[in-house]
Amino acid sequence: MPKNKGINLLPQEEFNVSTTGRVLKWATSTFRIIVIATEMVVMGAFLSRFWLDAQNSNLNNSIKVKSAQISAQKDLEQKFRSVQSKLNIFGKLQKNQNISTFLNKVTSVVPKNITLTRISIEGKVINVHGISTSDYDIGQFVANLKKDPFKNVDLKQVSSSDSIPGATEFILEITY
Amino acid sequence: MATNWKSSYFRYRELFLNVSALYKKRADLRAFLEIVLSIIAVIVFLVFALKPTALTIISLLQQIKEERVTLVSLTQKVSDLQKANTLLAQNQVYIDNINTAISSSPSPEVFVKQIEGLAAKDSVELVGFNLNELILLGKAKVTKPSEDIAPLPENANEMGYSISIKGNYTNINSFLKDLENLRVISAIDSITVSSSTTDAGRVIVAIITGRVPYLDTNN
Repeated sequence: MPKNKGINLLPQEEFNVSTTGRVLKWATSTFRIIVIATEMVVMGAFLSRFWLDAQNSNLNNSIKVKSAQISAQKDLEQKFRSVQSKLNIFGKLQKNQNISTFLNKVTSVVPKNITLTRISIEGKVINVHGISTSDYDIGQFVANLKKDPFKNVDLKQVSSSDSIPGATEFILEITY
Repeated sequence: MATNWKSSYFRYRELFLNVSALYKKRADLRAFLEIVLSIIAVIVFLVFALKPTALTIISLLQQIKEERVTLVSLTQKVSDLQKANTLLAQNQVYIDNINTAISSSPSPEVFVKQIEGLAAKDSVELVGFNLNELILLGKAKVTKPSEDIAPLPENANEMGYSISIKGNYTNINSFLKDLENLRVISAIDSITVSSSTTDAGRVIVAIITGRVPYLDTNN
């Protein structure tokens, strides 16, 4: 059985069957779609802008509320910061309160023939003035001091004593 | 003049009618015209509608992003303030001690009383007590800190002092230890302990210099 084939009896325009015609026809229909798509994008952009505006406004309101809450607690914040600063000052100063320790360290290693006449501590330097009846003890004292926590011990001056005959006066500079 | 206008009118009408007839007759012209009009429509949409909207959207998105970051920070701060409030309430008993240790204004009378108490406790004689010039009321003077002395932490204000005490070495040493552990904290800058022999016997004198910090919270 032969198949029934549909035959278009209307005469076709020359333009519609030519390659240029087909291309142009395709281009027009494609451009229609592009125009519609562009319109949809533009509409979407407009609508999303409203949505973003609303979101922005909500965020602004939230920020205002939070700022008001923070402003209301300004005194508390100031008080807390003040306490924190005071604790910080206290902690740092307390950490450096070790002059008595260094003074004890120096006086605890003094040999028996040495008499200390003056000790001064300023910054990280200790100056020790003393009188000794034995030169060996001065050396022993310096050796005793050359231990932790002292970094450096310098014998700055040695001279014979005016007040005690036969004794030696000395000055030590100790850094820690 | 009138003839000129009419002739022009007829000329343009004829041209338009010709183009119109041509448009109806020629399908390729129709197609080209549609393409050109479509391109113009797309360009108009892009330039006059989409571009400004897109720019606004970009700026809004950036603004929203920044506002979100700000909001997170603010929320964190509010939460921190609540924690701070709770902490302060929990440690209320210690706040007075902290304020005594580092007062909000120079309190020489408190310090003097404490030093006198220490001297009595450690059996040392308070030979001299000197406080540096300070503003008791009003705004503190901004003085240039000495280069030899390290500034106090947190740029705290200071009340300089110098104490001279006399006694035996053990008592002077205890006084020094107590001074370091005194509730009113002070930065001890220097100490000089010297011994001398007088008619009354051997005398040990210590001169202590330091600074008492105070934090003016109003500044």
